[in-house]
Formats: sequence, C-alpha cells, structure tokens
Amino acid sequence: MFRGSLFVGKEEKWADFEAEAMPHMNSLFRNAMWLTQDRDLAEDLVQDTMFEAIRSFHRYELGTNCKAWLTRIMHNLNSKRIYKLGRMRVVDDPEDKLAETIPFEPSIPETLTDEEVITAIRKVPDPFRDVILLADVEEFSYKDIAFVLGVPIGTVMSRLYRGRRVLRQELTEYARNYGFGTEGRQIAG
Amino acid sequence: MQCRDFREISEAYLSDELLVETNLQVFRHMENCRNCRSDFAARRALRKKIRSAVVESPEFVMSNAFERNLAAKLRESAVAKSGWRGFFAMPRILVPTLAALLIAVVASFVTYQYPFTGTTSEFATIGTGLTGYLTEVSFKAIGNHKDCALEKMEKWESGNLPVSEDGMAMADKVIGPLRASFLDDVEILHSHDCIYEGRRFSHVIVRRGGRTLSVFFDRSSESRHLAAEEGVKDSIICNKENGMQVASFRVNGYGVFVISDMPESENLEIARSLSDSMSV
Repeated sequence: MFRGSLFVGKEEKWADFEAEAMPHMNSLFRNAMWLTQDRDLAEDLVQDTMFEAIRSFHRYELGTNCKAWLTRIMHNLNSKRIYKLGRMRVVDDPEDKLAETIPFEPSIPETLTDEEVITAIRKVPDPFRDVILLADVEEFSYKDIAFVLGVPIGTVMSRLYRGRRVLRQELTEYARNYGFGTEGRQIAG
Repeated sequence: MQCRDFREISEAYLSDELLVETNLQVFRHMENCRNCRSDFAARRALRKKIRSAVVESPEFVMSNAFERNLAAKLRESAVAKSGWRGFFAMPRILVPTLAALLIAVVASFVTYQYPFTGTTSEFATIGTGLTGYLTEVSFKAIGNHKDCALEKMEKWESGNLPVSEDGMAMADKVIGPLRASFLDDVEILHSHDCIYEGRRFSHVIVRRGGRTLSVFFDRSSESRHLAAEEGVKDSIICNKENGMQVASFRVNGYGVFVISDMPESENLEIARSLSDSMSV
C-alpha cells in the first residue's frame, strides 16, 4: 500500500511515525536543552515538536533523514517561541566581530572534564554553538545542518570553523585560569 | 598541499565532507607534517570530547517518565484522532475538501445566475462549454423571438407565406410533442430559417391560447460540434429576460430553444416534451 495516500490507516500512520520519529526523541531533548537552557521549557519544546511532526507527518518522505526533519521543526518552533518572548536579537555581523577577537589558533588543553567542556560550549554564541552541536554531537552533515537551520552550506562551514575556534579559545582560557597545562595537544577523552 | 591549505580544510576533513581526492591529499600531507598531524588529532579529540560530554551528561538526558508520557499522548493523538478537530488537523484531506467546497460555492453562484432545472444526474452530462453555449444563444433566441415572431406577427398570422420542405419537416418535429402536451390547442403559424446577430436558426412559430411561442433550432456548426454525444439526453437550461422564458437543451445535433411569455413551469414542460420526443 502506498503510505503517502489519502486514506492511510491511523494505526499504520502511527507505526510509521513510531519507527521513524520516536527514536530521535533523546536527540531532540538534548537540542531543546541547549536551545532553552531549562528542563521544563525543553520538555515543552520537545512535546510541541513531536505533535507538530505527527500533524505534518504526511509531508515527510519515509526513509529520508527524519532526525534532520524533526530538528528543523524544533528550531522553527523555538524561533517562534523566542520571537513571542521578544528576545530575538539581530546582530550586525557576529562572525566578523568574533573573528576579530580571536587573533590566533589556540591549542587545546590537556585535561578537561565533561562539565568544563559543557561550560565552555555554553559560552559560545548561539549561532556558532547550534552548528557545533549539530555537527559534533548530533553528527549531522553540512547539508543537513543547512536544512535544519535554513542557511546556506557556506554559512554552516564558516560558523563551524569559527565556532570551533571560539570553543578552543574558551577551553584554553578555562584551563589557564585553573592552572591546567595548555602545551599538550591531546585532551583527555 | 601546504600547512595553510590544510588548516583551511581540516574542519571539513574532520566532518568527512571532502571529496575522496581531497581526502587523499590531506592524508598525504599529514603523513609528512608532524605539526598538522598533531593539530588534527587534537581537533578530532575535541570533537569526540564535545560529543561524549553532552551525550553522557545527565543534564541532557530526557527523563523516562516524560518520554513514556509523551509517547502515550502521541499515540493517543495519532490513533484516536477523530471529529472536526482531527479533520482540520489533516491538511491532506482538508485542502481538497476546501477546494471542492470553493468549487461548489462558485457553481452555486453560477446556477443562481443561470438557473438549472434538470436533475442532478442529467446535469453531470453537461460540460461547461455546452452550458455556456446554451445560455449565450438563449439570449440571442429571445431577441430573435421578439424581432422575428412578435414584431412580424401580422405577417405570420396572414398565413399567406409559403413554407419550405425543410420548414415543414421542422414544424412536424415540433407539432407532435406540442399536441401531446396541450391536446389540440396549438397552431403552427410559420416555420422558416432566419438569421439573428449572425446566427442562423430554424424557427417554428406556434400559437397557443392566444400566446406566441417560438421554437428555435440552432443550425450553426457550433451546435453540431457540441452535439457530438448523439442521442444523449442533456439537461434543460432555463433563463429569462424581460418577461420572456427560454428553456434550452441539446439534442441530435441541434441546440433547441423554446421561448414564450408563459410561466417558467409551462415553458419548461414544452421543452421537456420536445426533448423527450426528439431524443428517441
């Protein structure tokens, strides 16, 4: 039976949704936590995303990248949420400003805990942090990140390059402040 | 490849976004450059560290209760969705339905402007082109009725004008059904061909109970073309203008128009009897 047809059974539709979308809920929650910085808000955002996804599931093509599709819905919903709160900020050219603040390629500290890495990630400005998380944590391709964020692939590459540089800078600063060595190239993993 | 080139593309290499050929160049450069090799190892380690730090942190793990609760709500929503709320949440059904509704509203408006009197099944056999044609020619036929039948009434009443063989044949087609409808209370005044506003009609003028009735047969190529469905009985389209009723239909290659100042029901009854007898 053609699943995209008008009269797909409800059970069948749910089975498809369960198989395709439900396994990505943890990933969505991680993203939501970064986007909202609050567990309750993150849960609301995940819930809104999943309900929106199930309503729009007829638009999703089975077998394509469901995780990217869900993440895109979540980012769109979050943008609406922020817009309603009146917290949407327009920055003139954050990438150039950031580039000016990082004059060199920082090395990477040797010994850092997970908490320290997370603290450093939090300090990375939103647009760069989003790309780093989508690329490094969720392991999306550049193409998928461009789809999720609705930006050109070139912007993804640029933000990722600069974002990782900012992150290394943050990690180096953190290590320096707490007296860790920064000469080593290998970090604890 | 120089170290500067390597630094430019090392992030893309890390994300496995380079072409196979470029990957090979990067790999070869790292084989020969200790600094770049070390730099890349550090970048890769950082990437791993970022992922493990976030994925393994309890802060970013969804609670089991929330996951179970949400899954149950989603399932309930997907399986038990019904009623108007569910209907409106299904654009795949909603959009075609709204489109059909819009078409129905437009069709209702058109029907209101040009009343349709046939049954629903009959209406389905009529295309927009035929309906438009019958409506358009109806108004010409009304003009012709006034111009030819009513204005020249004395001429037809004199009974001195000859009727051609074609005219007789046409009159015969009309007189039978009319007599069947009105017993013998009908009289053929004249039958001829006439042209009105560039359209050629065969015109049968009938008198009944002091009232004048015209039956026009459109002999143009347009009506013959529209009459391609030979023998198919179409609906009767009714229009009126300045107190004149016109009931029009298509049968056996003709557009037929019955015009009188009689009530709509009576005019329609005549058209029906003609349509029935001629389509046999």
